Parts: sequence; structure tokens; C-alpha cells
Amino acid sequence: MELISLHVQNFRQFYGEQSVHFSTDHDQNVTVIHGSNGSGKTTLLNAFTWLFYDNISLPKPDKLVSERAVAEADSGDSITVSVSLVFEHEEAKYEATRVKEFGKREGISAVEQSSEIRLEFTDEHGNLKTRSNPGTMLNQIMPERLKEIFFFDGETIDELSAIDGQEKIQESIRNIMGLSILERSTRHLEHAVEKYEQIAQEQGSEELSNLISEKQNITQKITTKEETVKSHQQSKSETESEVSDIEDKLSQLEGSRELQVERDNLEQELTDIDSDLENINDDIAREISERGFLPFAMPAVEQTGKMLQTKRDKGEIPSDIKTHFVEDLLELGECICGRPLETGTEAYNEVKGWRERAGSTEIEETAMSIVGRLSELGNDQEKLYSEVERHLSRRTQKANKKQEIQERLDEISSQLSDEEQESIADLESRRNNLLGQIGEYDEKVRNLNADIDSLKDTRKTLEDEIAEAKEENEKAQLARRRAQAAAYLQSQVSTLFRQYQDEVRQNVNERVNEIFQNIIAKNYYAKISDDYSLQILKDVGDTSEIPVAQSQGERQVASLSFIATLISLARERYESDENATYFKGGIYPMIMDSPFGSLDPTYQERVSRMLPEMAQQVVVMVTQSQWSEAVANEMEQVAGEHYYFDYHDPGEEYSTDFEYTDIVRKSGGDY
Amino acid sequence: MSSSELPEGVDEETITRMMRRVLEAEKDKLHMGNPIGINDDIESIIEDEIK
Repeated sequence: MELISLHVQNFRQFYGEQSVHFSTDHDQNVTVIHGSNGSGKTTLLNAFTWLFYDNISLPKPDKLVSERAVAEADSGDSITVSVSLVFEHEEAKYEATRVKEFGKREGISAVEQSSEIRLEFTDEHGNLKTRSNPGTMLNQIMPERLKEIFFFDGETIDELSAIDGQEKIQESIRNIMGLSILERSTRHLEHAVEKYEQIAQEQGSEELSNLISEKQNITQKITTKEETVKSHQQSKSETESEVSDIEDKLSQLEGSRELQVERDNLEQELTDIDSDLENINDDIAREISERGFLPFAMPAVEQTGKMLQTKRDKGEIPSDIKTHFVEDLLELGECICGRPLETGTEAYNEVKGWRERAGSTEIEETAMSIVGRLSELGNDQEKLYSEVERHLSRRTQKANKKQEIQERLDEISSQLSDEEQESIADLESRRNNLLGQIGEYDEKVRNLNADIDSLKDTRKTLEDEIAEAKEENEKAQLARRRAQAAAYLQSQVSTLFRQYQDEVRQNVNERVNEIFQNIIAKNYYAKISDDYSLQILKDVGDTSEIPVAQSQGERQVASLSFIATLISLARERYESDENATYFKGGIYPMIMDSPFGSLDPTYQERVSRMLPEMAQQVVVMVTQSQWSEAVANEMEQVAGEHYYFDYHDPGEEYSTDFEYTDIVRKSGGDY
Repeated sequence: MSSSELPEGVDEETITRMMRRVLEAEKDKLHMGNPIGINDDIESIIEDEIK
């Protein structure tokens, strides 16, 4: 970032429009602003923080408007307060402006009416564009957390070397050098690891393996039962074959042939009857399916029929007059009796009244159609009753015939069992036993098939549950992989962070001491300790060193050395060829209010000698007392721009009732 | 789970890409003291890269 110019308007004691153009000459990179105590040096520093962060560290921070501007405005007038900074950043030219409009009230009060921040920039084609996120962008360019580094007050800067400055020092190192990105990533990746581990724990379970095991168990049971069914069917088939053999023998024996032949015929007839009974049952089911609703619907059908018939009997349907006919008469403008039908006449209204009583053709046709259909429904119901009755009658006949045949078959079996010829009776007895076994096989197969159906239903339910559990298991596996990837990534980032942090701390240590020793007169060392405190030490032997009691001036030099170190290292990093987007440093100006605040003349001279080298661009605000001859001698050579604050004090100037400051540019001479 | 082991099916190239994307997301919110939404951003990157 390179500062080009700052413009303030009615900001605190800066009345009207005032500007500072900063030196951009790299050989004379210092801009010096001279001002007495209370003339506006700290206010100008606060103009930067107000513009960047809407923040002011001054007494009465709500008193933004120049008192003189308020006094000179008429009641109801609008007064503009603005700060605008033109700067270059990463090869683009920006203009940041914060504006507040105030309305003049009675007396010297003004009330804020509107507030706006703008950030315009010129792109690579020279086009002026506006950033839609000015606040965010400005905060990225000059982070608010580091405002005490960029815009520092020499009177309080020694706080950095105090014990409570550790956190600020650590954060400054991390931020300016770009290490905060790595440090934050480490923390946020830890959060991601915890989240995915939690998901994996919630989703993963032993449920899936239990379900699969249960399904395998059920499948095994089904297989066993199906094998048993096959075995029974095989046994039944063999038994049926043996029965058939017996019946063949009975057909061949003289004493049983006739009865066996009769039995064969009856059994065939019995098979046919069973088939007929099945067909009759199908016919009954179909009849009920197609017309079974009629007995339930008929009361409503009959009531509707009666209602429509009543309307017909009364002549309400069909209507004597049709709507279309009435409308045609009204459109023609002539009645069937020949009278003219003009709108608004009595005749017209009379005919128009017919339209209300006329029937709709569509409704009448529908009603007539319903009457016809209702009549058909009544016939259908009769047909249903007669058909079902016919099927039931046929079924009764077949059932009676079946019973008759079964009784005859039983009789035949008794006759054969009682046959005097022993072989015939034995054969019949054996046949009856075998038929009993066949019945048992049938019952067993039926029971087994019912069990198999039930087991298959259970297996289907298990398969659905397994599919669901598999889906959850896949989620758990994915969460575990993500947790592992996040943990691995966190470990890599953490290693990188420690590596860069050690490297930066070592570089900061070397540089801060180098700058410190160039300024300080004594044999002291400045050091950033392991716990990030800025210490001043002195040697007491070959290897040992002890902290020294620091004066305010020494602490100020140490703090200044630290800030200069950060800014110079960030700049070196930014200009290096090393490709590290998250550790790239940056170019920052140093903007200092009273940097020689508590220093004795020797330190003032040395600091002023070092200042131009501390940053690419330096802005220094000094009082007359701080601008000693020694300082002036050092700074004259490197100061590209000089300004002074022309402070108007109503206590000393009778021409004004309010204090205000003009910023005046000078090219040299006394200030 | 060891943080020094790459998960199955994830290569170093993926990790490098994830690191670049995560650090870019952090950089975008560096100006915020409390970077709201950064955890969601990082999870989106992880879920996008590890499917």
C-alpha cells in the first residue's frame, strides 16, 4: 500500500476542505507534519482510523463536525463531514471515502442524517469502478486489529513492550506476516475433524452385521424347509405310484375288476366335478365383482329416479321454453307476436323474464339420460340376482353329485375290504393306508409352504432394513474418510505454521535487535521471547543475559524497533520470489504521531536517522519541541513533503469565535 | 485414526488442493475477528474433495 493523498472536510477542527499529499519519492520517502500540542496531529491520525474502521480514539468521539462549520451554517442546512484517502494497493489505484451528512439544529448542534462509505478503484484498463464491499475490503488492506501498528501514537507505543503486550505482539507477527491464516486454519480444521468423527460415531453401528446374520439364518431355514417339501413331494409321488400299482392289480383280479373299473370311472368323474365347482365359484366371484355394488346403490338410485320422474310428471323437464330461443328473440328485437322488443321497454323486460324460467338444453338432456340409465341399473340388479341364483343352483347340484360319488367310493372300498379273497382285501387295506399317508404328506407340505411364505416375508423386511443400514454405514465410512482427511490436512497446516512461525520469530529477533542496537546507546539487546514478550536484556557473561529495568524511552525504542521490523520483513516477504499465497507479507506505510515523544535528544537523532529505512513510506507528525536541530538535520534530506498545522485559537485571535486548523503545505524553511 | 496417514483413496495432490482452498477461504475472512461461516466453508471444501 502506498499513500498518495488524504482529504478531510469539516472533520473535527479541520474546517472546510483540507488535504495532505504524501511523498511518494522513494529517496525522500518521509512526509513530515508539524503541529503544536492540541493543533490536530492526533485528530489527523484518527481521520485514518475513522475512514478505515469508523473508529475514533479522542475525547467526545460523537463530535465529528467542525464547530466553525456548524456555527456558520443556517438552521436546517446540511453539513458534510468526510475523509478521503487516495492510495495504491497491489497495482491498482483506490480512493476510499467515508461521508456523513449532518443537519444543523438550533444553536451549534448538528444531527447525523446519513452515512456512507465508498471504495472506488481504477482497473487495469483505466476504468473507474466501485467496490460493493468497501468496509470488508479496507479491513483486508489494513486490518483493524493491527491499527495500533499502522497508526501509532508515540506517546503510548511503549505499551507494546509491557507485559500485556505479548498477545498483541504475537498477533501482530502472525497477521502482518500472513501466519494468522495458518493458525486459524489449524483451529477450524480441528472443528471439522470433530464434526466428521461425531457423524461417523452416530451413523456407524453393529446393526448391519446383525441384520445380515439374521437374514442368512432365515435363508438357511427357508432352504431347509424347501428341501423337506421336495422330500415329501417325492415320497407322495412314490406313494401315489404304489397306489396306482395296487389299483392296476385290483383291475386284473377277477373278484375286484368290476369294482375297480367303477372306482376308476367315479374318481375321474369326481375330478371333473371338482373342476366344474372351481369354474362355478369363479363365475360367482366375477358376477359379484362386476355388479355386486347394485344392491347397496339401489336405494339411492330409486330415490333419484323418483325425483326426476316427479319433475317429468309436473312438466318441469323438459321445459316448454328454451334459453336459446328467448335469447334469439331478444337479439332479433321482435317477439313471436310481432311486437318490437326494444331494450328497457315493458315488452322487452317481459320476454327477458322468460329467460330466467327457461330450461338449459344441456341440463335437460343430462337429466333425461340419467332417467334412462337408472332404469338400466334396475334391470342389472335383477340380472345379478338371477345369475348368482343360477350359479348357486349348479354348485349345489355338483356338490350333491360329489357327495353321492364319495359315498359310492366308500362303499366300493368297503366291499373290496370285505372280499373273501384274501389278496384283494389286503390290497385294498394297503391302498387305504397309502392314501392316508398321501393325505399326511399334503398336510405337511401345506404347513411347510405356509412357513416358507412367512419366512420370505420376514426376509424381505430384513432386506429393506439392510439396505437402509448399508446407506447409513456408507455415510459413516464417508464421514470417517473426511475426518481422516481433515486430520491429515490439519497436521500438514500445523507443521507448516510452526515451521513458518519459528522462521519468522528468528527473523524478527535478528532484525528487532539490529534496529534497537542502532538506536540505543547502551549495550542492551532487544528480543522476542518464546512467550512473545518484547524484552530488553543485557549481557552479564559469556552466555547469560538478564532483563534490565527499562525507561519509558527505552521501551519506546524497543516498540518502534519491533514495528519497523514487522513492516520491513513483511515488505521483504512480499517482494521475494517465493510462492506462498498464505504467507506473502505486504507493503505497509508507517504513520506516526510524535514518534520522538519520550526520547532524549540522542535517541531522537538516531530514531530520525533510522526512520526512512523502516518502511517504504513514512508519515511523521511532530511538535516544535520534537523537531530539534539534530532531528531536522537528519530528516531534511529524506523528507519529500512538509506540512504544518495552522491552528486558530479563539483565545488568542479575536477574529474567530471557534477553534479550527488549516493544513498548510510548505516546501522548506522554518515551521 | 492417525493424523499422519492419508485416508484410503485420497492422494497428496487432493490434500494440496484442499490446503490451498482452505487457506484461501481463511484469507477471505481474515479481516473478521469472528469469521462467521468459515466452518461451513471448510466443510464444503472437504465434502467437495472427499466424496
